[in-house]
Amino acid sequence: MKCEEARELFIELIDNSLPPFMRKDLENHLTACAQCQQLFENYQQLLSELGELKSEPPFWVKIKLNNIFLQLPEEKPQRKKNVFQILMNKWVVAVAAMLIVLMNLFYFTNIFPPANRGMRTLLASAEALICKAEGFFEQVKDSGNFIWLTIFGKTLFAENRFQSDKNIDRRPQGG
Amino acid sequence: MLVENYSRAIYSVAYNFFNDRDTAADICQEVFIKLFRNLDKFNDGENFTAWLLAVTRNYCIDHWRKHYKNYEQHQELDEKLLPVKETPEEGALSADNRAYLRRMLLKLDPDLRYILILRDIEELSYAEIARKLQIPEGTVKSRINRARLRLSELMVSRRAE
Repeated sequence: MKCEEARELFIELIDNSLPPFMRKDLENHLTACAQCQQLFENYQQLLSELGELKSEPPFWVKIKLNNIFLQLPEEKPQRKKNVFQILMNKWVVAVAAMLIVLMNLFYFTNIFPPANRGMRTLLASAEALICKAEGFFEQVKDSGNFIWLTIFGKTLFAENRFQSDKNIDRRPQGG
Repeated sequence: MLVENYSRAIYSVAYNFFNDRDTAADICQEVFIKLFRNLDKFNDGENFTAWLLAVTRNYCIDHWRKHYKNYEQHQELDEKLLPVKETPEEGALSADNRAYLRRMLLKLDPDLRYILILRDIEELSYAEIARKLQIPEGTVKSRINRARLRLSELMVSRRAE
């Protein structure tokens, strides 16, 4: 038996799980090889020494461990996003900003004449609407009669139709 | 209750793995934080202990690789310069021999060291170690034998002094 083979069997010899013929071979080798014999003695001694390395945690470690549970942050439940949060994501904001920039560009410059006319018409309609609304609320405030609400609705409808008719008829002023 | 039942084993494994009380305490803390966060996943004790030992092993080996990578290079110098850290355990083995044995343990490959600690210090059976670390029993035995042989060789030089 070679030294290497013998050393591989040390664990079996210690555990007493070697078949008798192998045990005999190994014991013969240990008697003949002083190096392996010394190593095996150390091996045996080591086992008893290692058993003494078991250690207890100091009290401060136990206190620290017992406090972990108290110190753990509570996991926050995930809240559902409301409509505002969904709408106010970065892409919606970016598109809105781009629209505002374009509308300003079309309104204040004439780089694209149809858009410029459209913007001016739109703004004129908005101004007219604001004036009407202002007048209406003044009247409602003075009279306290909510029948004006119906009248305003009808007037507004008629005016809008008039405005859109005017837009169709209007032709671009060339050059 | 959990701390009382499991802290000793985890601390002992980590302390013998690093030979450093502060690191052992840190490892214990990491393991228990992970344990408390995953407590609802365990129903039976067997899986729980296996999980605990696997987590302890991972933390020990990761920490070793991160912070003790160059340990071998400095160890010779440290052995000459640093005083032996006295430990309060009692037994037939002198404090000096115990400290020396712990330092020799550090020279083993981390995987071999961990498995040796489980068998010879924590006294788990081969079957338990195999089940808990999910490796074949034959592999467990061969690793333990290799670790013991390496440690015996290291101790021969000490005893010859």
